[in-house]
Amino acid sequence: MSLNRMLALKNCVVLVLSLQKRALATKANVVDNVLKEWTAKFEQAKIPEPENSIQNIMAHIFNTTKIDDVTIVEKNTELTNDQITHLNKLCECRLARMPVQYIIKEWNFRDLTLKMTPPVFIPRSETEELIDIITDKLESSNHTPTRMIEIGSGTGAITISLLKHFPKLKAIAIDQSKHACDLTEQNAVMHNVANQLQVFHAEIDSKGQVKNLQPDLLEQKFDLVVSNPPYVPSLDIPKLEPEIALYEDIKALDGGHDGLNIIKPICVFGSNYLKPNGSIFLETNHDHLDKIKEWLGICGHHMKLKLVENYKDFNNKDRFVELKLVE
Amino acid sequence: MKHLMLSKLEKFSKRLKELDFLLTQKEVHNNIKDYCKKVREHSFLYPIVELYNNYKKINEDIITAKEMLNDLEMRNFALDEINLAKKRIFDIELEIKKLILPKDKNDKRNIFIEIRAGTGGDESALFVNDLLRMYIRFSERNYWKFEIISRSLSEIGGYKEIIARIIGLNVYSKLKFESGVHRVQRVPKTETQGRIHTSACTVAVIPEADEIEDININPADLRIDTYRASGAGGQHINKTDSAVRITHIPTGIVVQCQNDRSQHKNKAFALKILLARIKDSKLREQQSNTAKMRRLLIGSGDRSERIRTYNFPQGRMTDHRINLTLYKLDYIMDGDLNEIINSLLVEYQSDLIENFFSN
Repeated sequence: MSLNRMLALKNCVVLVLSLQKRALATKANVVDNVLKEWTAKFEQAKIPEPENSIQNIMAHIFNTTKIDDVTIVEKNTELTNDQITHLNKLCECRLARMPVQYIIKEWNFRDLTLKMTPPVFIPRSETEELIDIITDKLESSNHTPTRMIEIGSGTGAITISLLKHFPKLKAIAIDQSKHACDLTEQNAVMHNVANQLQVFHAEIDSKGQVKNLQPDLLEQKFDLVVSNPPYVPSLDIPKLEPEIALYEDIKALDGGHDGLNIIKPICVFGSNYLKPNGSIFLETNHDHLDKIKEWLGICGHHMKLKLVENYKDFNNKDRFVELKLVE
Repeated sequence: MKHLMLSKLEKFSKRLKELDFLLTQKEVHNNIKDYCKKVREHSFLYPIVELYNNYKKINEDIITAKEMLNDLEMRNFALDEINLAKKRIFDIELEIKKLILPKDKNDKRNIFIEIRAGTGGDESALFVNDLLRMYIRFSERNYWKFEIISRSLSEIGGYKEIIARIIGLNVYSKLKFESGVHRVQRVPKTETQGRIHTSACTVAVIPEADEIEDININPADLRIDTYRASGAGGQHINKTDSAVRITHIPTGIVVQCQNDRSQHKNKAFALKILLARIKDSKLREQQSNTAKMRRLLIGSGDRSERIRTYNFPQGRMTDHRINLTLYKLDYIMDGDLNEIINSLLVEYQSDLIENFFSN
């Protein structure tokens, strides 16, 4: 066969294939159509972020973390019947206001893909910035931390990020929820930092003491005490969206009447267990800065604790504080 | 070797002898500036002339070997000799070209590719889709990673704009001639009377910038917008939309990124594109100056220049810069760009060489 004839034949095949593809593309099970359909359903049911929700669920079906992979690359692909059934089941959960992160059982925190299971608190974007703040601060002061504790580790996002960043760092993570402890452990294993981490099911009390923790674990002091403690004022809890109020652990959110119920004990804990040059880093409510300053004004001297710096989040709200021992 | 090149090399070797002599002269030493200039010229010419001398010697060898061909006993030996010499000459030519051609330090870099709809409305937006597919397929053929970073949809299923990042080996060196206006002629899907329309898309290929090396941005010059701006934020809100938009206030450049589930990563990405764009606008200024100076046909960096036409009814693609028409549009749209890209590269290099020698 001459080369020209072969090329002509190949052209024919290409044409037939593309025609077939086009014929398929008119069917209802094509990604693009399914996306549109569910966006409309979500909109009708007044589900927040209708389009983004279905895009993320679809990406999950295609085993990718990037929504553009499905909205662009796979948009003309036809879903199999199994895929459709699975997708519909997941979308039913969304109609019941389940957070997308729980539906697809994972979410991203900075570079990490972390497992998410209800009711363990889902890390927020603000907290991603806390990692930069801590690492920048420690590196600019040439301080390489070797020992840290996180109070209320949840999914483990903060501790695992820090352990990844500082390979010589060892961490203790505690959480009052057994589910959270298990999840922290699982995520640590997944990201190969389990050998740097010990997780304990324990709770901090109002006096800043950690119950159920072997005392010898606290003999050595810490370079870092980190926490994203529950800080939502109790009065705001009923105003939370159903995604949060119905599905996330209320104990990871409710910070008491002023939102400081756990923040204050963590400060007391820090004053007892921090190395002389160590720091406490906390995420707080947007209106906490003045209250913390006021409180430290009254009893900071007694605790030998001072606020050294406060940081804003990407929305320019006061979000993080750093405390150190008074020399 | 081309005649032009040979005559220029002959000039080089004369000039080198001249320089050898001049550099021993006292008067030259007294003028430091002039002296430095001559030393630089010398060190540029020396390796080239060295290769050229080698080239001449091998050529002589070939001539002697050819004489031996008549000798029956020596015939085989002479043939071997000639083949070996030809191969060496080929290598030397390549070496010389490498020394003469200016190097593009961006060649090895990853790129951002931006495809935008231009004249022709919906049809143009649909063609963005086709171009995107073409570049995705081309990247697959080269084992490059293709990441879509940002996109904005048009109403009927095409795209107003797509930004993607291509990661891999020598990406910029292969795609740097893709920047410009790509014109399409076909019967649009939306056309009911079967008329052929002409519309166009703009493609911009931008090499990635190194933050530290290339550009410093003052954080105060950036405005960052997210979908989480209202309300108390933090634990009060749980949103999955992680889109980030960054505006560089002094230049007015806006970049949006939404592809990753982490807002932090979207922000980092947006910043990266922003850096690349700022650096690119500087680079283009530079390029258009040198292109004007050298009268280059390709690589002028002018993105308003119409570089290609994809004509579907005739099944052809024409590159206007080198007047090349290929009648295999289906394959090209499926990412078979090697032929066109190699032709462009060859033309560009010989362009450069000619310019170099005619100056």
